[in-house]
Amino acid sequence: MIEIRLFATFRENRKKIDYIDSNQVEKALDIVNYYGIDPEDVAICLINGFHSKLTDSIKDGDVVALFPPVGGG
Amino acid sequence: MRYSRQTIMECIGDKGQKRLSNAKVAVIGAGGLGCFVLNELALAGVGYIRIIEDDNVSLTNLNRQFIYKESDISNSKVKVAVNYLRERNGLVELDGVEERLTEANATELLKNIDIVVDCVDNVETRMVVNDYCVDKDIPLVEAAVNGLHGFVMAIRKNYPCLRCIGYENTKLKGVNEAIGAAVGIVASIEALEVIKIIVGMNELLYGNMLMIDCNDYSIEKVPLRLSDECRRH
Repeated sequence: MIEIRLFATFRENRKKIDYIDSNQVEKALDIVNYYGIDPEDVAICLINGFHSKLTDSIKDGDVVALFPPVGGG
Repeated sequence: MRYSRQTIMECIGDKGQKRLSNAKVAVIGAGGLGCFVLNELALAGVGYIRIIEDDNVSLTNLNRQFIYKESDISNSKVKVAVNYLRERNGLVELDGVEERLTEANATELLKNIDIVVDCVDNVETRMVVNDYCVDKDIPLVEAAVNGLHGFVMAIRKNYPCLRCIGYENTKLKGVNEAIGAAVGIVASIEALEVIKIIVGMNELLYGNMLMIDCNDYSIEKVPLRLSDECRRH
């Protein structure tokens, strides 16, 4: 299973923490598409705490965290 | 007597209070986060605060930037903030700098500073501050807020920075959403982290991104890793 953690506005009408069968997805981008998130809206993607690209591969047991832009002062 | 309610805290004490009074802190940005942070640091007795901000007060600031009044509109934020804070704690040395912090002036504007607090509203300045503090190994407390969501990080040389998480690629869209009650929560955590670093407390945010969700009132620490691709590490 892949653990998905969504933050800030990505949580609206979605779960904060979700799980997807690792056979269903190959890249972080597949997860973004699965949730109907516009890839352009993803400011930060972390895989197991490491900065990652949406095109990076994911494997069983990974934790993928997705953040929208947050930058106000 | 002034600080007695905090010096009786075991984690602060007289020793911690002395550290606060000896500390030199730069707060970059005197907007939403900055107003709350400046107030908290001045009231707690941080001895020297440099306020770096080049903006003037506008009507849209007044829903959250409590330091400013209607009669301050169009006036320099730095000047108004210095006067406001001076009246609240005359023991604090306040140094107002009416300039925008850039790569070119960062060394000059952040000279002799022990801790930097980032309260700006744009990615470009955040990255300048991040790079300077990582290069010089100066503790940086970073925060940002949008609507009901915000984050706080503590950064220094041997810990993950904004570049480590790819923050430089963040593209902010349109006008930032902001309500004072939520901005204040994020800013208070940012100010508390500064105080904890100065006093020498444990349980700091280095290596983590604290995500604050004022929609469901949850707070989560997200562990971060140093990135091989980071230009600063």
